[in-house]
Amino acid sequence: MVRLYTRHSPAIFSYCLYLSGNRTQSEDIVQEAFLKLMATGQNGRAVQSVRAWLIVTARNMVLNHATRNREVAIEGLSDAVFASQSDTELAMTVKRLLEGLNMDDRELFLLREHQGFSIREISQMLALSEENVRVRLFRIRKQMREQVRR
Amino acid sequence: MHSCDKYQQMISASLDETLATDKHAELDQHMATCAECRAFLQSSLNARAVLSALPFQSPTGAPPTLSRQSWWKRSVSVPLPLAAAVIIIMALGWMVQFNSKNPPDSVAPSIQTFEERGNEVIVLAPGSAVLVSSTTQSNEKAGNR
Repeated sequence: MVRLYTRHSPAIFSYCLYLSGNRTQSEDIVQEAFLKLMATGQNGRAVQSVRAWLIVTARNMVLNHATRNREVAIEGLSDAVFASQSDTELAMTVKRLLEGLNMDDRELFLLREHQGFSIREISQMLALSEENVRVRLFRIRKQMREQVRR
Repeated sequence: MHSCDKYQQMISASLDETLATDKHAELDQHMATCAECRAFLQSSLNARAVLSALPFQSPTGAPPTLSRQSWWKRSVSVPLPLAAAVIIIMALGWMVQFNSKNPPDSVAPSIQTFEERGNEVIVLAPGSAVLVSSTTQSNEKAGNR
């Protein structure tokens, strides 16, 4: 389990952090997600893609928290992470884009562009059709173009 | 603008590696003449560059342990042969204890068959073992004396 935690916890934690913008909650969710994985009794052996399984589990927890506490969903993402990038202006534009997206679109965009999952993987993880994922990504990219234009 | 929408969908599909191979040439041809579609591609690539460069941050907490779970929720794994051996030993122990507390009612076997052969009465127990062979002959001998 320590090996799995070392390998996957940064990706899961970052996903939760960039999705919710809440560090403390993201820490808790990572712990809970790994506990759930352990509770399967398989230490990940029965789970085909451990990372995808953890992402979906963590995602459901983030959404549950967001439903219970609306303020979590609209809490801003940390400026420091974006400001540390070489092109600060561009990074802050992307940050504004993320903050302007609803939770569903934000997670879709993060799964694709930050986590690097394929369209097929995302469609399976979120139980959406591949066409739906493609169309939504296209719309988000159009929003990004509009954000740059302003 | 309408045609650009179509090409921007193709750009988006290309970024997602889902654009059909035979569409690439058509897209390239359009991109060469359309500044807006090039700008769309550039902004999409910029977003990708920023997001993919966002660090994977590590949580500060230690890996979770099962001690955080309630004991009744923990799964316990016991090797199957060991579990079977324990069950068998317990069953044997119970049987021994049960037998010692409940001895048989009578040591005498039940008599099932009487058979007369001449002057002899043969008493047969279950399994045809001869238990008693009382004879009237011996009585007669005693009477003759």
